[in-house]
Amino acid sequence: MSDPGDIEILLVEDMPTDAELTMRALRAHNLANKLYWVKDGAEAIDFLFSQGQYADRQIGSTPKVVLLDLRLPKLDGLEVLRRLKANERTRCIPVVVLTSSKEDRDITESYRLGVNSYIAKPVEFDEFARTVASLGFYWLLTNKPPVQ
Amino acid sequence: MNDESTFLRHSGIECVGDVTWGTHFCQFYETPEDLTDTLVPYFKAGLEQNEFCMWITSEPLDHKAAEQALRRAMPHLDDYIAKGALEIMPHDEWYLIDGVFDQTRVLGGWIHKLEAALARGFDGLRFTGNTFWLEPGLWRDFYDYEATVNNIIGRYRMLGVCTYAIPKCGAAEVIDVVQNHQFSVIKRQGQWSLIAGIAASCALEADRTLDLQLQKRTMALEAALQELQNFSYSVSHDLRSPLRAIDGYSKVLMDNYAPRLDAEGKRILDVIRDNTARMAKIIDDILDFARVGRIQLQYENIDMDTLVRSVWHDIAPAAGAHEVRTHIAPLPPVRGDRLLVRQVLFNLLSNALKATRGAPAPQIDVGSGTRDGEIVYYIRDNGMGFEPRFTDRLFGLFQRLHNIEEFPGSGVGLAIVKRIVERHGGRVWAEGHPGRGATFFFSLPVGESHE
Repeated sequence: MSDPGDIEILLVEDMPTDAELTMRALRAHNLANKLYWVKDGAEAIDFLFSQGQYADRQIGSTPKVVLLDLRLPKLDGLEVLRRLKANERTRCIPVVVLTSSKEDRDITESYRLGVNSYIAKPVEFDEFARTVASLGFYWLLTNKPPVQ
Repeated sequence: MNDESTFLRHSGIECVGDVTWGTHFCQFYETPEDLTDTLVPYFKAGLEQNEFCMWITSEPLDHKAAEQALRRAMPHLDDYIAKGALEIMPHDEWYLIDGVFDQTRVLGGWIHKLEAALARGFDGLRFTGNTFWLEPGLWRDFYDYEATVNNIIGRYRMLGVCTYAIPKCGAAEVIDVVQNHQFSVIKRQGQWSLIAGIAASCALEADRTLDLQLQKRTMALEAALQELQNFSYSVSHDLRSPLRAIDGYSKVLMDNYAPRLDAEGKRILDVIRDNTARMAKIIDDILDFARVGRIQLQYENIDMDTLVRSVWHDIAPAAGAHEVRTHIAPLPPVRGDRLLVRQVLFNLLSNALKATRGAPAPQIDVGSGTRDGEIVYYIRDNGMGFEPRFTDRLFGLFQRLHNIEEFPGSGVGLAIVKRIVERHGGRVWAEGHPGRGATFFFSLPVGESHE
């Protein structure tokens, strides 16, 4: 895991197995070097707003993408998304919802809150690995983030 | 789908309580206050439940006095009048034209008012009629009229109370009136109370009680079904994550530890992964099944010719090695939810394709016919067919008539087909014989939606 001061991907995922498989899929393409993993919504907010246990983190350093699960302990993914998109400083950080849910209302609500992309995790690992790798390539290499 | 709870209406009248659509009762009165006592809360409840309300007045409470009384109870009455929820009119404008009472015209009038109200988004029609104007000579006609109303009102989203002036009723008339209504409301010792009808009306009252019980039971069932659907949804949902872990970690083992596994070890890993894939498919299908039960149908005109060809175009490449001859007859268009009807065709055509795998000259025909206000579409194949005695089980959830190698799938596809077609008000059935192919039929109603 990388130094929280300088990261490219913030992975917000409570299931250790899903987190490990996501990181494996990214690592296979060298995309996980600057990845930081937080295990619930509250920790994600602390990280991105440099507060609580992350009070010392440099606030100007933002990830290139946040991979956000929806069903999370403490603060659920939609609430994390709402807070990020409601704040002037954090609203430009690209957020990709990466979840098991294919439920229409989760999809609609995520877009309404301003999510940049919504991906339902495939169960089948090869497909899952391909999906995660392609989104890693896209957000780290293809996409041009705003100048900070 | 109808929300069952809307069948139960608050009457607004304390001694009457909740009633179902189709309730027709009467009230005996002496003074104008007797009328406003019951009719003001009756119409207030109606307006507040999004019903279209019609108050037909006559002496001794004219339409102006009726409106004033209602306004005292409802300060925002003008809002309801503005959206056309209320009509208060004198009896001679409604019952009598040129002084003549024509029961066919009046009955048709209520139904017309109801239909117009439903079209404007109201939930139904609540009305009252007053008979103060009845002359002795007209009584027989009106008796017939009330009997007819009593017989037909149960079929409509209508609620009616007829008010009778006690001083104008003789004993015979009172009996007629009570008999022709499901129950009567009358003042006893200063309190409004309810008396059940006599003779035929007793049976109606029993019906009404049964009706209420049935509505309540139906509501409870609907709620239980909803809960079950939510439950299956959330279970299916939560199963995906561990399943992904099983599949993912098996793959990791395969990729990183292959040199330490012998052929049997690798075969076992393959079996694990095949089964996770199958379980993932079952979960997806359960989710689909739950979803088609829940979503609101979006009706539109469907060009079935184009839809069948487009579905076939998507499926055909999966046929792979086996070439199938198809014949698609010209198909009439139909009204339905395009995405759901597409899924019906997709499931039936995929099944036909699976069934003809291994047939000597595989052929799939699609055709249609019309009968009794519905269009019947069919998909016929000359594949493996099925035992006719198992026909009933074909459309059940997780029912399989063939083993998984012969006929791959989760056993949900035809259950989804049945659910979609039935939600459209249609039917599904099938004919087949082992080794002689199968024909799957589904019908869709012609014309307007059933929802």
